[in-house]
Amino acid sequence: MYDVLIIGAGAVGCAAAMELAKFRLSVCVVDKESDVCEGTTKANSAIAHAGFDAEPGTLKAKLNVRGSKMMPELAEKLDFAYKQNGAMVLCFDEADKPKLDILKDRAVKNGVDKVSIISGDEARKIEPSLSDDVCAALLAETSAIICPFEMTLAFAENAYSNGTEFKLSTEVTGIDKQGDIFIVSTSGGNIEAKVVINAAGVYADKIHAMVCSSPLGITARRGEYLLMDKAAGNIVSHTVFQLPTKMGKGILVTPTVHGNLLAGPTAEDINDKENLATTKGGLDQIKAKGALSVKNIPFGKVITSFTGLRAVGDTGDFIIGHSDVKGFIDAAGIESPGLTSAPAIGEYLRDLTGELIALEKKENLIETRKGIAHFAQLSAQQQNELIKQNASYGKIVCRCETITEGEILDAINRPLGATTLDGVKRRTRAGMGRCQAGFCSPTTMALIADKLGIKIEDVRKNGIADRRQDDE
Amino acid sequence: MNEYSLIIIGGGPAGMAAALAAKKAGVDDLLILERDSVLGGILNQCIHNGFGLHTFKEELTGPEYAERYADMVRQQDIPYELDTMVLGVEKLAESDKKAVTVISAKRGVQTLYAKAVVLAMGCRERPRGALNIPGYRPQGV
Ligand SMILES: Cc1cc2nc3c(=O)[nH]c(=O)nc-3n(C[C@H](O)[C@H](O)[C@H](O)COP(=O)(O)OP(=O)(O)OC[C@H]3O[C@@H](n4cnc5c(N)ncnc54)[C@H](O)[C@@H]3O)c2cc1C
Repeated sequence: MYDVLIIGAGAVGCAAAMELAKFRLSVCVVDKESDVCEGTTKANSAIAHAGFDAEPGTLKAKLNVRGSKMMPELAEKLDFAYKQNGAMVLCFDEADKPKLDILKDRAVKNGVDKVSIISGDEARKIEPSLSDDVCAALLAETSAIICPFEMTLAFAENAYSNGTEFKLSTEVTGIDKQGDIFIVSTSGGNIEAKVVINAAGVYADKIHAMVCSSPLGITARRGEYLLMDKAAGNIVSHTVFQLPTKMGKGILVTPTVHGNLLAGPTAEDINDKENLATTKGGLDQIKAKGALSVKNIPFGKVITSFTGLRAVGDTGDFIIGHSDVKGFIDAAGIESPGLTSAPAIGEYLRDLTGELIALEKKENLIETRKGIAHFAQLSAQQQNELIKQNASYGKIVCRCETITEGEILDAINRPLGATTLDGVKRRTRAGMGRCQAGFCSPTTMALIADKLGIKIEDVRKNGIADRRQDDE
Repeated sequence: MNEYSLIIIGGGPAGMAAALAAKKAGVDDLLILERDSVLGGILNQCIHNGFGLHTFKEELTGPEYAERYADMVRQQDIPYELDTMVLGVEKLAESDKKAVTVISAKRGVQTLYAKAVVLAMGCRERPRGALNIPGYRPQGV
């Protein structure tokens, strides 16, 4: 029996786990996937939004701004990539300029600092690649880019080191309330808990309906992206958004925190919550809309495309709070800016939990977490010290990103370690470069097989191993 | 030793042939750097036959052809270092030497110097993503 069971190990579930791990509670996180960060948290724009977009007074506005302000210190303490690069919202039509004023007004109301409106020329002075059609822009200096994988893993690892249990590859299939206790049935047997937090992303409606009778709807909204080589990464240094135009809702062009260039996302409601395919129409749209913002985006340098699914709630705002069943808390409809808001949602869920069970501070809390060494970013002297301690740091496995065997072994061996190729990739960036894992896959697979004691043909890209009937 | 007359980056057919030619022309302090754990480069993937008709007057597979060259490199005592990746090449301002920064488990990160550098790293295919084929990302592809 746990005090709290969290369903979903995305940014939201892991942030909640990290907050609750500060108290004397028994907490368990379950996820149907074999790793944390396999849902929406793995495929998005990775922007720590400043907070000028959300309607004042909404949960989105409040939690976005709080999350954005928490982010720099968290990144420092928990060792994940964060860079305050600033953002611009571009205006292409004189008639649309009042829309920038509305955004600036929202920023002020939401408590976002360092937001101003600049002319097209001023914008081009800061970002020379911007299109000549830009006539004005909103500049938000506190906008940032982050690594969503590293952030979520950092939350999870910190929660783990403070005693949180993680049950991965465990799908919740039903929830029953008996007296004050929830009996949660899963693919790995029943789990009992006093409080259940629903952080199941696009499936939060399904989890909610397992025990609640109040309606809650989630629509999956597909967002497609093009990711470009690092050679294209400094065409802009700010994240550039667009005001909506005649072509519809805008897309963004941004450097990533690792120096690639990202363009997207599209926005299209779909019925299938597993549909992570990219489409020709979507990718063409990104190219056309991207060209409005930035001149000569080198779309010939695309290294991959991907899709993320926004969990759009039916209220327009985040749906976070006690449900109609006592002890069952929803964190649903967490679409953008969910990543930015995650740490603040974690605090909010902690407070909601505190209204149900007593929260007593834990002693000897571990507040920091050391990430995997980013070998390529170290000085030659630091690199040599690492190699002296452990020769596996002298072997480059991923040539594109200069990722060493030592980093990959750390990714596999550390708590909540990687068990799949994608798990290694999200933790180390091995396979994220120009060749998209063409060269390093066999070596990485061999390392996973060796460390986990499984056959190389059973190493997966992601997901749970099939139990094949014809296995000997 | 950190100074060479010639450093050859890449131990594939081009790198090995360059090394053999340099040796024949009298360059003795040379070094081949190869990031793979064997010599041969891309030929180790070319398992079909048809190699060697001109050079050896017989039909060999890629790995066999590469092995002939690797044998000659060893016969000529040409030094080579495997599992060694070059991280950067730079021309020094104050001399005509070039600085070649390498990494290997044996050397760690180290800078070697050479009067001349031959770049024989082969080429890279563009990734599947560059074709921008929409769809799913299946396992095993
Ligand atoms: C295109 C796009 C762009 C975005 N851009 C940004 C951005 O730039 N900035 C920003 O702040 N936010 C952005 N977001 C939003 C952000 O990505 C999400 O808000 C955030 O990742 C949501 O996290 P989550 O933990 O709620 O959901 P998820 O990461 O989806 O986690 C839910 C988890 O629940 C698990 N689960 C589901 N059902 C079950 C079950 N039955 N049993 C067990 N486990 C289950 C899933 O496996 C999953 O791991 C973007 C989103 C999209 C789609």
